[in-house]
Amino acid sequence: MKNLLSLTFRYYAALAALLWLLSVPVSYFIIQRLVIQDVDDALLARKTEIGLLLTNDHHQLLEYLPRADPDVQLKLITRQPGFKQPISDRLYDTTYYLPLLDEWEPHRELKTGLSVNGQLYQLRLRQSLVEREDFIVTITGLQTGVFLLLLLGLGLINRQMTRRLWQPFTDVLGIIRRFRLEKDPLPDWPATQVLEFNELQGDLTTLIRRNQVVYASQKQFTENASHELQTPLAVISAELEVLFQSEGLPDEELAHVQRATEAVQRLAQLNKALTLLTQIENRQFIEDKSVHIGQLIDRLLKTNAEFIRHKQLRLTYTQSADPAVLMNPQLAEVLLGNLVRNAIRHTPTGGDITIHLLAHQLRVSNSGESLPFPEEAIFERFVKNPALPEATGLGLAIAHQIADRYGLSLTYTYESDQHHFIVSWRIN
Amino acid sequence: MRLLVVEDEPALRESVRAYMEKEGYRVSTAGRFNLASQQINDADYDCFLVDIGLPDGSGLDLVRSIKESQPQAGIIVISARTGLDDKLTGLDLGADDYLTKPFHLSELNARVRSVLRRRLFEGERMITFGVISIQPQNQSVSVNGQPIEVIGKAYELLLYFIANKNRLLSKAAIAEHIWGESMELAESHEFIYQHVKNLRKKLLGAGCPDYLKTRYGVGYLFSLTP
Repeated sequence: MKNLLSLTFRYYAALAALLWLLSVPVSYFIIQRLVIQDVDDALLARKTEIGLLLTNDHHQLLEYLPRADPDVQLKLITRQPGFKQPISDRLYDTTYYLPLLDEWEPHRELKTGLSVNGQLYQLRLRQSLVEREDFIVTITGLQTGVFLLLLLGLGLINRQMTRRLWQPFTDVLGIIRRFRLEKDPLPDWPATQVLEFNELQGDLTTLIRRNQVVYASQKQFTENASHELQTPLAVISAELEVLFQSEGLPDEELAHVQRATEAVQRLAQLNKALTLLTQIENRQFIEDKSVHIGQLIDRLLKTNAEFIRHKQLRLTYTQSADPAVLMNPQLAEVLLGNLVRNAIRHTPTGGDITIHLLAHQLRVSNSGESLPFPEEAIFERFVKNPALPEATGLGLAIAHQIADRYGLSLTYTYESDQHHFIVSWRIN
Repeated sequence: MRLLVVEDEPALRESVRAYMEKEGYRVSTAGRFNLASQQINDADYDCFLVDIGLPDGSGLDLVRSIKESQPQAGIIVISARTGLDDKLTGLDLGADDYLTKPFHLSELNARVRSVLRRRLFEGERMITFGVISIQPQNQSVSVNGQPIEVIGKAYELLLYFIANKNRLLSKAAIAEHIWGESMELAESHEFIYQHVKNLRKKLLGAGCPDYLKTRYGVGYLFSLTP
């Protein structure tokens, strides 16, 4: 990703480069034309000058001029019979060897005839174009310099703009990034004179306010739903218990009451689990602390030690680091508790549970048959082993939701007759 | 012992009242915040059961005012919410215990007893049941004056049975009391049976009469009468 200004700068630079590429040959061509015209004018003027001199004293000039100026060749041509037209001016480019420079150099030459006092002369005038080359090189260099200065200037202005003009925008980004809908009041935007930024801030305020209203009502609904369901469940449960404890009820009737009680309890658990899921989704647990995973695992293994013993499970726990993760401590306990209880529940009697704690991950593995449903469905809600109908099918869904909430990864694999659940986190 | 039950749901309020009165408590009830505040001002209670979600106010505010006016009394907060933060707030404010709906009345009874024991007698009072006597401050159990080793879950189980004497207790209620959140793992009835069997064996071995009656497939009853 590029930032906006470096992208605009790229277009500026491309335009400048294009103009530079076009302008160099164009100006080369124009300057060349101008120089040649200038040289041609000078040569023609010289011709007129020589013509005038010839009128006055041709013999001396014929002798002296070519010797004094190597660029002039003057020859007397005997008029041939039938030669009537005056010789026209011919201007062309050519090269000459300059002994002084020991180089062949470009020249402009005028080949013409002069008719003076009835005599016909052939005149050749030439002028070196060495200076023209130098001239063009200088001009091109100058243009390149201007181009580079232009780019440098644009770059500098761009950087200044990023810092100063876009500062309010960067501030707004920072505020949004830190903003937490569940606990922050409406943000104080930095003052700005820029219309677009002002509009952005206004629109964001509206958006946040609307979301706060939605969030509050959703939170309210979750709490109300939970309350509304739990209270009748509590009534049913209490009434059933009174019935259960009333004297003289035959065992057969008691069994009915007990089954109803168990169903109510399952319903209550389901309701609690669903509410918890919603609360995690709504990010209602905001107080994060540094949770020592090792200590948490120790505590969980202690509270569940009886079940591990009862099922005669072989527990191997290796802790090769003492990592801490920043998260809500209650949710951390729910997450790891669900994984540990899941392992205990699904390991067959006499099986193995292996827990390995590393600096960046926790691995909970247990032996057992492969899943009776597709692997990728394991963290989905209400997916459960048909052999255990009393399970809510929400424990692992909750664990996954919590992991998601804190940017941890929770993955499942089945390898060599073992189920592996791996929670990984970034090491600070 | 005087209890004040603050609960807006009439059916539940009456169930709790009936259950606790049968346990020998003098029970007053309030269904609204205002009424409850008034009763807190008017009379002294040994223990309060406070529902957090009342139609005209928050039970947490009641907890605050109880802590101010009757700091010696025990407080058990009851919430329909599952919000873990509710629980924390309740306990932070000084409530002694926390229950979420739905709960077993036998569980509520056990909690009330435990809170009262801690609050009023600072754990000093001896619990006796027939030939069994328990010193809560050092969790020691003796039968006919002879100490026996009943520790950990077995001790909790015994206390729970005594607190709910003469009441039929379902295995689910026992599991929830002893194992709390992990109760689903204990739901295999064989597991609870194992614990109860061990406790009974210890008691009988020390010469204790068989107080524990099993209603097969249903639950247990702890009672002096055979």
